[in-house]
Amino acid sequence: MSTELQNMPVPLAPSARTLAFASLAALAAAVALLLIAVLPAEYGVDPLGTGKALGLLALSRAGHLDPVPPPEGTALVPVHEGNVALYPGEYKVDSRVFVLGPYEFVEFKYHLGKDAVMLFSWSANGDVLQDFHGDPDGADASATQSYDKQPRRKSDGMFTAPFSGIHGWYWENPGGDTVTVKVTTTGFYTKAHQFTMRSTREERHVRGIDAIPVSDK
Amino acid sequence: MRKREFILGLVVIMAAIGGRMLAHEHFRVIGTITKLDKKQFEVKDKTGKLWTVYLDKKTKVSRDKQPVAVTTLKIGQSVVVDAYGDDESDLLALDIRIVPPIAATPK
Repeated sequence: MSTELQNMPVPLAPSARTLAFASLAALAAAVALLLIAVLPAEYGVDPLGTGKALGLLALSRAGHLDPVPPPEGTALVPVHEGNVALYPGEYKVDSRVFVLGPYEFVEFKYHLGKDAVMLFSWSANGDVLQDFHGDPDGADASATQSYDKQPRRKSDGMFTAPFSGIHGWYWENPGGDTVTVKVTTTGFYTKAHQFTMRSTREERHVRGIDAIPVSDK
Repeated sequence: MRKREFILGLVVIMAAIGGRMLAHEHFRVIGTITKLDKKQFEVKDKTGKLWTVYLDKKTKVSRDKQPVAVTTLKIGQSVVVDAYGDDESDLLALDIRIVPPIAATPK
């Protein structure tokens, strides 16, 4: 038994030179990995261009994306990105009550850019003649386009402006009793205009989204 | 050359006249007839304001959606007048509806 142990070959210990060479090789491999992969992927530092070539730079951006700016411009016209329509500004809100005496009328319109959207709800507590219509910017009265003239006491819906201009309603009280019309809208309009029986056109203030109460429930 | 200038001038004049006609605004006056003659009538609205409106051959008068003669108009009738004009003092009646007496609106 002891004779067998004595006959077994004894493994040779690596020399100091071999150890040093192996250590240097490992260090070089680690530095190479750091420069090729770790720095580009973790910190976006790409001294050798390997991060860009291997697509590793995107990994470094994943943690802190640069925000995409909103569409540019002052006109509230939508920029479509797939199923999303983005606007260069916030939408507005508005709510009005019109008391129409016997045979009186009022016209109320919002300025929307082409393809801009408005949601609306209006109702009357009596019969009214109504005409939802629009006038293109800079055109005369002959260019007026009617969207809905059917007799209604109530209407809720969404409207997409077919052209840049003022779009809204004409409400007329056809009878001898007073009628009240209430309208509420929200949309990407910039201004509102009220037209009266005295042939006046008055600009009306519309509110920004800060006017919407914040819910705490 | 003179003919061309003449035509150009004529076009400018017609455009100016046409523009003025198109510039007329629409007014609605609702109230009671207080004065009346063949050429014009006066309407007092609910605020007490008096409106003078001119009549011409194209003025249409109706009652219960049926056309009636201009001579049907009488002092004291309630009317809804659609008129055109440059301003409140220069109104021409296009359409006059005789309506049932309008109850006074409480102020």
